[in-house]
Amino acid sequence: MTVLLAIQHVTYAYPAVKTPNAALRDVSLQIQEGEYVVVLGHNGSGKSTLARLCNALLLPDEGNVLIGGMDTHDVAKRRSIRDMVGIIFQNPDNQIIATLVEDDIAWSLAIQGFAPELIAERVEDALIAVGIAALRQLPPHKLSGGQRQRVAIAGILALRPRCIIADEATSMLDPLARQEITGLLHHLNKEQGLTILQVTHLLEEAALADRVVVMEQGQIVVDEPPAKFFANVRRLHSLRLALPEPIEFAERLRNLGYSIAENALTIEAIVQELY
Amino acid sequence: MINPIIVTKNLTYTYKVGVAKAALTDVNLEIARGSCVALVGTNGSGKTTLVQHFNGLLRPTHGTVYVNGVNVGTKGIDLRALRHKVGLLFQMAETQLFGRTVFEDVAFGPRQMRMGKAEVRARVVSALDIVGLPFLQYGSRAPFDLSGGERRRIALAGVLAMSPEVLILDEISVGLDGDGRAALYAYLRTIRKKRNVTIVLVSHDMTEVAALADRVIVLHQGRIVMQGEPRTVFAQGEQLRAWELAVPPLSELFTQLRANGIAVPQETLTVDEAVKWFAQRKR
Repeated sequence: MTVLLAIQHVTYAYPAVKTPNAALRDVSLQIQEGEYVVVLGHNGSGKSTLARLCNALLLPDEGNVLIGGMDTHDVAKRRSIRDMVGIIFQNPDNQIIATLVEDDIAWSLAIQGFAPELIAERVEDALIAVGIAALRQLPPHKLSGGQRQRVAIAGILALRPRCIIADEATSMLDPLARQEITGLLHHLNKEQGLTILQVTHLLEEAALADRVVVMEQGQIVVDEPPAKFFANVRRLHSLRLALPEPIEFAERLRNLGYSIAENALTIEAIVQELY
Repeated sequence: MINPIIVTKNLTYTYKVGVAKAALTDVNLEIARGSCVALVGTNGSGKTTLVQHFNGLLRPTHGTVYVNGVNVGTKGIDLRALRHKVGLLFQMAETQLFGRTVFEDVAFGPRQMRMGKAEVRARVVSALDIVGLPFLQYGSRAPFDLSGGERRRIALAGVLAMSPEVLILDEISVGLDGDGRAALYAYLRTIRKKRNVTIVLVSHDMTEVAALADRVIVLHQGRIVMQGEPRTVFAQGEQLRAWELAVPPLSELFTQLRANGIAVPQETLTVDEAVKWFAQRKR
């Protein structure tokens, strides 16, 4: 496997903030191509800062961020870096600009001067990949929150990235739409081999990831597979992270002597173990 | 119901004259004083339209709405007094702060109510105390220097300072992390206990509804289609999904266990209840 994202001893402080603490302090992290990594942490822990350093929206004060081997400090590489790593945010409305769904997806290709035939092909592929081909002629404000977030994802897919960063992309959605978007990210990871970095404060979204990274006060305090992460109840408690109720239920049944594997982290898996 | 605080009778509301489809159709409900009622339903089901009748922002097209026995749909009622009695906190309330300091922001409501200086101060101090942001520490700070969760609590304090009898909370925990959410729930429980405030919760988050509400009202296409205690309502997973509503993950888990022949009782709601049942089964 090849390393797609390499964060090397990065320290970053927001210039306008008077507090003495940096948002990130000497953080190092490597993400392999094709991995699905979930970054957890409380508000203010530095997880969004980490995400923004990964596509050169922010540049480190100290240390380096390498994307596919390209240093984000290198101004000449910035365009290629952002084509390689796309980012979606909490509120899709801040990212949608056109008056029709398909125009919005085409926009970033159009400003890069792609030929119309190529744009049409890429838009088509992106619409199908996120499952909104039937909505292409609608104005975005007629869509639900989950559908609008799909439009934002399609806009990035059209650029053929190798990595998608989802920065709290589900936290304003209702529970069904949230499952829908997380399901879509997993689908893109499995089917297209896209690397996914999902930043969230919802622990249940970590259950199906390859790796869980937890940020606390600007540093990485956990980096391991979800089964191991959720099994360490005492540490979760000290990090003030509440177990999702189904996982807490499984954990307590285990203490009663029921045999439930530690990697059973979804409702379906827990039911299978008890059956 | 004895002495309910809110009653609607055959409430129908249509946004525009001539539009065939009503936003609310024939809604009859009673909300008990001091209770916490959750209104659930998809976008467009009529939740927000309904709660806007409770503080007189909307007037029924047909039917009546009573708050504290007063018909609030009639022209000429004292809307100012009604809005002091029924506080409304919108989604993303932290974006609606405008005071230069936390004190100024929370004091806005009591000042509008023409209270004396000492009374305003006493109310601000007490409201900030309830939301866990003590006046001495936070009173003189600028709201914009605080975190999102803290700002949202300040917005809540601003409504509390008017001592409302009913508090309408529209999706207030969206975007808060686990810490912020737990704190908010604790304050809401305190308010109910200390001030006997009636809470009307509009929420998509069924885990939240299960944790706070003692009654759930389900709206679908402008009509009440189901109501009852959370444990009764959430046991109807299949029906809720037909209305495009999620059930709490735990209820979903119990439903799937039942489908696989493990007879977890229908109305199990919490981890504690389920663990107790499995412990007995083990013996």
